[in-house]
Amino acid sequence: MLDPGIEHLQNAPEDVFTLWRNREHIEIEATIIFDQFAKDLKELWGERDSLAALSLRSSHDELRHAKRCQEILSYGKNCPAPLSPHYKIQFGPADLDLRKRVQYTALGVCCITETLSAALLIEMHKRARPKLIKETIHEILVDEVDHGRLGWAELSRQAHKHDLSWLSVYLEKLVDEAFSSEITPMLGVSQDLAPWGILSEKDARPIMQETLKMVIYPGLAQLGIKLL
Amino acid sequence: MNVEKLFKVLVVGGAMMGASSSMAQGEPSFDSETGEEQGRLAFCAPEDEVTCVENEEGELVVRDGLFCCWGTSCSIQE
Repeated sequence: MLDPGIEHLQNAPEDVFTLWRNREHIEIEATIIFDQFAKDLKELWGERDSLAALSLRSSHDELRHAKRCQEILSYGKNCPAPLSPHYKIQFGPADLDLRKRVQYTALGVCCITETLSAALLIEMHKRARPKLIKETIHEILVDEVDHGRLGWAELSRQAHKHDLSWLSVYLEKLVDEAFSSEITPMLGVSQDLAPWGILSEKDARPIMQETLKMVIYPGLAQLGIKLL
Repeated sequence: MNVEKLFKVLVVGGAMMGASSSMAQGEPSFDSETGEEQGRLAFCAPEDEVTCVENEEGELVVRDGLFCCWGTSCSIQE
């Protein structure tokens, strides 16, 4: 007998699969960025650095998330070919030195994007219905908590020796980029897609605003990074 | 949404990891505002039997006194 959750997935609107494909693409990008971040952390702190190891593990996590997205996509009418992390991404300004590149990546990727993502996944997990989608969201959520902490950990250990206030200039831009490039592509127009793990922009925006106001900005302020 | 929990799990939890990695690098631990909370918080890890156990219904739950990070059945309750 077919799992009723699987039946639901087969009957999901096509938009659901388009948006999970967008998530797959974003997971692949994150695979590449965390892999590069791991290399930068090793160069900065040494081969045996625990946060470099966590970043490398995060890269593997993101690739696993992309494969989980493919599982969901396989229930659509036209399952696209899996994406591969075989390209390069330059995250942030090209002229930053190694230490600043690490700080910038920790802020943009982990403290902002992954923290916002964790907040949205908590809500998505509450609303998701089909078993595969609920399990996938939970798996991603558990990992995103670690990926977010990675950035908070890196900036915390740097903040006691290095001035991080230069990042304040980039804060608003990084938040805007997280919204437009990483989060909006995974949001639906309709509120009816929530059982399939898709939040609408209307539902997501207050969660993001609250997370920025109550979590991200206060956390960054303690590290000397403030919204200008 | 429980933003206080999110702050503790991510920001304070991250600061704890940062302090621990600094010590592993041979540097003394550092003080921070979030660091003040570090001694009072202990987080769960779903795969760690020291922090999470199976209850009678077979659900993985966090042990009393530990802070859940959405890795176990607490994620369903909230």
